[in-house]
Amino acid sequence: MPRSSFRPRQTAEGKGGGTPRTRGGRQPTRGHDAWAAINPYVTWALGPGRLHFFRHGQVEDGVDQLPLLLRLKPETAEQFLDGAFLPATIRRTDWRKSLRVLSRPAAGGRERGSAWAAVLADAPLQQAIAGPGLPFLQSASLARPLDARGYAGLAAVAKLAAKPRRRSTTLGSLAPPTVVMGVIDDGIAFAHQRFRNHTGGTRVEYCWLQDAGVVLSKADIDGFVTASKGDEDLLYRAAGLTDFRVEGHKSAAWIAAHGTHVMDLACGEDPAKNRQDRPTVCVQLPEAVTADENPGDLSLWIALGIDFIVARAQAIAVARGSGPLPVVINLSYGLLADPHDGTSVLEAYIEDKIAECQTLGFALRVVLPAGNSYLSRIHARMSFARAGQSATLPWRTLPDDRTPSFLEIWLPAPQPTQSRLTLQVTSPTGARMTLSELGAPVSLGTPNGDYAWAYWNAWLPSNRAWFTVMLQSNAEPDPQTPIAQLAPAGTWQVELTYTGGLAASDVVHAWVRRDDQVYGFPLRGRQSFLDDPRYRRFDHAGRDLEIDVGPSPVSREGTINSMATGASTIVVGAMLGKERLPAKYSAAGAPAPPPRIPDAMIVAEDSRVHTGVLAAASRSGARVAMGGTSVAAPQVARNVADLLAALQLGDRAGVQGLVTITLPQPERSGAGGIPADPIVKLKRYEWP
Amino acid sequence: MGGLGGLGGLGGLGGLGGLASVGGLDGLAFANSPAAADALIRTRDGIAGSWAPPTANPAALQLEDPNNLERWEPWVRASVFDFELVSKLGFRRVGNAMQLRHLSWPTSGWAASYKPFVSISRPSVAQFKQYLVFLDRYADLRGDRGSEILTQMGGAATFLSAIPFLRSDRTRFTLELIAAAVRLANFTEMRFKQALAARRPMEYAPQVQPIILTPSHGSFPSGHATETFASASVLARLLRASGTQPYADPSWHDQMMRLASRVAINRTVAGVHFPADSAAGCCLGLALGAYLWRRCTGGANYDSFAFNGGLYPLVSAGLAPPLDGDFYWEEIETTMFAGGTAPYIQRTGVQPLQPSPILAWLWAKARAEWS
Repeated sequence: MPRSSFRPRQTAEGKGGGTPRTRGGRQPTRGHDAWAAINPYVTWALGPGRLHFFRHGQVEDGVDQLPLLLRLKPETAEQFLDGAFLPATIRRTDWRKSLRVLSRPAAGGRERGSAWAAVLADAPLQQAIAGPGLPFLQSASLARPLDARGYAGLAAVAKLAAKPRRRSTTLGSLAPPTVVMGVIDDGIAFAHQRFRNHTGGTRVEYCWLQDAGVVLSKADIDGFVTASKGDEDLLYRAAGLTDFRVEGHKSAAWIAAHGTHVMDLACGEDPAKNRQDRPTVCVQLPEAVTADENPGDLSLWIALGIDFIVARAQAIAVARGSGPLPVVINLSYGLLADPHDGTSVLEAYIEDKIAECQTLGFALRVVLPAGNSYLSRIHARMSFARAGQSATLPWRTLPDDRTPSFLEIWLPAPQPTQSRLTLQVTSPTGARMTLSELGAPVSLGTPNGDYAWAYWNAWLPSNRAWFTVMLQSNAEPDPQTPIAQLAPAGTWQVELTYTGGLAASDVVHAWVRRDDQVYGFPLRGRQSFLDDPRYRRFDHAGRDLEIDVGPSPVSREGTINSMATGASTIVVGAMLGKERLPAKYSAAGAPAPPPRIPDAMIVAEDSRVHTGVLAAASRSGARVAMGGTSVAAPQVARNVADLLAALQLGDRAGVQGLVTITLPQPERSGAGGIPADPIVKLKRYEWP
Repeated sequence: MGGLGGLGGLGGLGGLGGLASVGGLDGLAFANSPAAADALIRTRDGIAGSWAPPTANPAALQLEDPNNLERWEPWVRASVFDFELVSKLGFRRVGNAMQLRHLSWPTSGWAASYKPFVSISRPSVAQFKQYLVFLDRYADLRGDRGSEILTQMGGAATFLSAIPFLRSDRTRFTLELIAAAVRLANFTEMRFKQALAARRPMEYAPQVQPIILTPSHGSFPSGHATETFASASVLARLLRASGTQPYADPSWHDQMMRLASRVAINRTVAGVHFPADSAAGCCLGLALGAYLWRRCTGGANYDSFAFNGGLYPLVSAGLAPPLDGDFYWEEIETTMFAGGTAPYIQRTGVQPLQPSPILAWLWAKARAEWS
């Protein structure tokens, strides 16, 4: 399948313009342009999105290293890893130093095998990868850069992985059966008493703080607990989780911390139980990654986190004299755009990792939330019957949105020479750009600089095609970061005109990328949405309508977490405990292809009025109520661990088998509701 | 009395002119009014009759007897305690250090002399500029701490009262003791603030933007820190001295110290103090608390300390906690009383102390409330 070859940009004239305009601002270099063919977000991050992607004062292109997650074509992966593509100016030893192989291609030509590598690339290496290295890549994502401390942590993790493993000769199984719990999140108060035993100290065997670049072992954590004598503010300052000298939001300094609540639901325990059979490994993601979602920037850090947890789990197994131990990882994060067919970079990594663990003889289960965007108007679906037919999506960006906004339109397998759809984007001020399939990128701009871009790409992993519309922020991210040209806020008209070549049953999907901010984080981004007048939001009584009604292309269907459409991940929605109904935000998969719906639901809101469920707050002895599909997933992660301990598969079918509660709308509730076993036995209401 | 902000929560005991806490006064509601005086003139005229000198005499009260204190109103006692404490304090500048001193007097004769007590020197402007980073970082917690900051503006009495069972109708002398500790802290800290003349964080940068009005006295040391650590340390010692279980458990002391620390850190979150201000306030408060306890219990001596602001850790040194420029109460307490090694604090000696019958009376009354 030929990719679109990159050609110099065509620029649309603004309203009232006719004279060729000079483009101000920084021109992306050739190396960046090459990325557009495989991942336009890399081009964006290295070009017009630079000031958003790199924090004020952080590393910059050409000056320091950039992290990349690369998926390699299996047939040529070994050559790439050996450095066959490198120009003579780059030494093989330098290449090996900047490379971390996450998995090699499977021997014997397994169909789904891939090879994965994480690379810390300086400018020459970026050019090499984007140039001669490109044909070796299936997909690539650029990760949000860290500072020097974080990169030192990568080295520490790699060293841990390289440590020779003590081979135990008596590989028995442990009693009771042991399952390793993994939690990847933000704001994990890892020394909380709910993660400790009265005898023997913490159950957290390893904790990787990715920002601080530190891997804490159980001995470290027990040491901090003893030294701080119960003053947990002091403990987390000393451990580097809440360092008030560095910038950024410190979730674990707030009483309601997402990661702590999630981890309690997944594997928290009364210390008096002295549980030995759920050793825990946790990963605290970089703060920048949780703060603003920028395209693809969490894939590498999550992938490295998964790799770390699986490796540490097997080290724990060896240390305990056991055969390989099953691992359950809870990842309560969600995205909105991407293909929704299991082939996004992170989804592919997860599927491959699960398969790899399977071949090595143990189970890896990954549990994800279904997503909270059911009512957020971030998805539209369109079909076309006659040539000349068009569909228009009014895409509304809010003012004072300090982060860029993105919209993706996903199409079925592209034709080699024919364009089926023409995209036309009209700004709130009337400026217009047009792009057909197979065309080169276009942009809108003023003499100060561009503020909107559109790309068309083929998507190799599942033989599809996609348009991306990228908008510059309409407010500056902060006073020290002047943006050459801001985009106007308001309603952008995104119109698709059909010119033939699709089947009547083909569905074209549009998704808006996530842009809201998580509780506690400073207000920067505002979620844009599809503001279609035909979309009915409320029923006759003024309540949020929870079904799609009417002719609008904007759809509640298909709003599922776009990291949760893989074949093997377990996906959980949120339900109301008392009313036994889906929570109004709990997202839906799509029954029609891509066919991925949540597996089940569990209680994430005790009732419509008693919101959230109670679990640990960030300091020992404190509890807080928190809701969302984020808190549904870890409860099922706990169930999955129990299934694995009972020597069952604990896979999607196993989870669906736990369902006993009938719920409406299977596209949101999957097989139905799993009875919740609240970890806090307090009754928040007086009825049975 | 603008500087007595820390007394607001104590039911009017510390303030002047409050009768509020005594019950059953409704019948005296009109006392001292023109209407009552006029009525009393008429009544006496009607009932007193011709002057008849009394036959028996009341016994004379003992001179200079602390037991007479019980006869007076709380505000009168407060003035006596204040005089007892402040009259023994002196203050002098020695180079760049401001030295609080204790007046030591012999059992007979006139020759009194000043002994060192707490010496404090100010960090440099360059140091304070470094510490500004904490005001930016801690501002992240404002959403979480807002209600605490506002309720703690007038002092932490409400919060301290949530740990042991303090109530004006149950533990009135304990509350008078705590109020005396707070006033002692207040007099002392204000004198230091005047002398050290440290600028507030918002004077350094326009981005601090505190969420409460910045008080118009010097930043260093922190008044909230001084007063809360002083009162918490006196209260902790009182509970332990009562001999009553469960107060023997160190957790009472720990909770109250953590409270004082949180109150102090909340001031940084609010944007009105540097962590170094809290550190100096903590040191001064703990020193005053120990001193007051010794004076109340007839101790033969007290400990003197020096806080060297110039040696407060620099953020740029990049050291790990507790030497990163932030505020750590455990470090300070351990260095003052248990051989710790914070570089900015020194125990400078043990100084002589004389008994105070007046303070001993107050202590005994307070202690009896917990036995």
